Amino acid sequence: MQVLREDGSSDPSHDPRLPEERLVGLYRDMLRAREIAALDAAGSGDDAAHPARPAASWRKPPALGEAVAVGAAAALRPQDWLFTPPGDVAGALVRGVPLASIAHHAWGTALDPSKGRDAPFHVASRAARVVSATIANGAHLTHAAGLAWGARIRRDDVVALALFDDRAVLAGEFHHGVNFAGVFKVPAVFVCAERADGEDGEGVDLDAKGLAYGVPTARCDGADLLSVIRAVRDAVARAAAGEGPTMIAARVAPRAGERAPAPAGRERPAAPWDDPIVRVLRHLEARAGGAAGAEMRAALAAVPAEVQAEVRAAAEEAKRAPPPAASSLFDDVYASAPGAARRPGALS
Amino acid sequence: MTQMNLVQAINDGLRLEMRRDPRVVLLGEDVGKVGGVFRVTQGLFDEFGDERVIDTPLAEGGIIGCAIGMALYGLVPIPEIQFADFIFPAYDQIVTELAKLRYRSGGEYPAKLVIRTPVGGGIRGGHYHSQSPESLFIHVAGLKVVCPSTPHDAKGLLLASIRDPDPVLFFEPKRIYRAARGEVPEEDYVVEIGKAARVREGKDVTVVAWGAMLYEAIAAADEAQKQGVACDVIDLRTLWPVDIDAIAASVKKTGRVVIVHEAPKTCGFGAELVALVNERCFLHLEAPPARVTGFDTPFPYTLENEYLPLAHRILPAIVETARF
Repeated sequence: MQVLREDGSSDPSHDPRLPEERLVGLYRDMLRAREIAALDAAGSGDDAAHPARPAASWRKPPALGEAVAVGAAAALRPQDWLFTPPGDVAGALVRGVPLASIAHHAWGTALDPSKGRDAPFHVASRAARVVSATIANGAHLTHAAGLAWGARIRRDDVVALALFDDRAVLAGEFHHGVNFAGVFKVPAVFVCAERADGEDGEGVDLDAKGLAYGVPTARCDGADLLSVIRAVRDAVARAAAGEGPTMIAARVAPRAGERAPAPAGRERPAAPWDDPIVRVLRHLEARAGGAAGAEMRAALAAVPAEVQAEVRAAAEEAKRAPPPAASSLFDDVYASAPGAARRPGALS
Repeated sequence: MTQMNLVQAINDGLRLEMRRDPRVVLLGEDVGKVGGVFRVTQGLFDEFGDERVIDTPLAEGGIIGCAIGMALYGLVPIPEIQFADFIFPAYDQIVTELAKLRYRSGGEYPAKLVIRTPVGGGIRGGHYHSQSPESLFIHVAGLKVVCPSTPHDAKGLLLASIRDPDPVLFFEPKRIYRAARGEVPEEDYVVEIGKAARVREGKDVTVVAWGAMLYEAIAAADEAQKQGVACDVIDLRTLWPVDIDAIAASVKKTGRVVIVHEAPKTCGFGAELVALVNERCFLHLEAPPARVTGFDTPFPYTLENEYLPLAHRILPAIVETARF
């Protein structure tokens, strides 16, 4: 389901019709997510300057693609919950987690909301309803199913959304999460960034899996922000109406080196249009056409430099911050840890 | 006061807390209509309905994973794992997620569950229905581990566990589910987590046990008394946080300690208890600490009474320790 067109227009039958200001904000978040990833390549993750720290850096696993994470998070309502995969901060940005918090978290500083305890890019924010990501492949799908189930038991109008890529589909926890959600018809949405990496362009066939679990599967273009928003919005509405969970296959480009060689004569070099950020920008520029849009076009042109500056400033500030106090090592292991609850021999 | 067995006492505690706290939900394999394989949840489905007493698919990882999600939303789920031997498919969820969520999120996301599960041998269940994996959970920071041995403590510790803010593994010694009987108050009460109980008083040897083996330890201590050896018998009740103060106070008095558990000896909880006793009571010891435990083998089917550390194996250890 493609919504954004190469000429910058959109398919009116599927366009979620976001206000321009909102769309510019999402464009900015997509750029922020990419800039955060690029910092590592630029060597900004060098930890030599703070030898007391673990090797915290902006290094991150392959992301889902900016359109999938930003679009899915943007389609949620304020009361909904987001379960992100490890390494993906784009959804947290959309949900309002400040860039500074993410930077302090990445470097594990004293100002990290997670108190320097989790690997970089496992952002947790109760205020933003972004749940602490786990590296255990697919485990967060069961948590999303359980949270949605809990909300239904309490009769709350809340939807839980889990973002993952097709590697999570290989894990048993994918089966647990989607199967429990299907059996109990909980208000959950499972969004999979599905890479078309086979010679025939086929992914992991979520349609067949959804059929097995009794969970309908929708498809969207994972490089098309508006396509993702449309599909996730529909799924959220369906869940909120008591119709149960939905899986969404968001088709994205394969990781570098993972695509099987194309048959001779059918190779296609990566085009600017493959880039989800280019697609949004082209659409915004089209909306800002004519003399009336000159101011908007100028504003859009300035966004990349602004984002680069703010991300790098946040990183530099985090690098200068002190690490957490050694005494905090024992906090939060238990909520109630009087006397013997502390491990005998602990530094207390 | 009413006479109850362990099953009835736990059932009574669950019912009381579910009436008191609407956040409490039960889930697991056959916990609903059937009332659990040991009938511990019998009648609760009828009273509280299928949204609070939930029959789940047979998938422990899914049960615990979904329970964690419910807890993140503020419910207090009490998942049942039908036998402790079946808990291993959920071990990753318990160790990687449940135990660490509060810590790794800087306190943003506590996840509070009470995982109930029958534990231990003595029912001719073979190794699929008999193991005692408590030390695998005690080793994991962030979890509390409880194992009652009397109906009174089972209800009181269950209520304390449900109201405790941390995740609790609640091991129920299935061998004495119906054999252990005693007076249980009908009203609301708690037995504090982290407090051991001295069930026999003596000056010669400290005997530490929990769960079903407590009764074997008591039987051995009573027999030792006839041979002139008086034992302090300590029922740990809570395995973690362990009441090391109670153990140390006793060992400083007796100078001798025998630790009894069903789990295999190597890296069993007895090993940690011996280390703690050595750290705290070294200059008071009159004999090497002794362990009477299951063997370093898988739990056997036919020969389970040879495997279990029953009274006839505990008694010589008490006497030898006393006479060292």
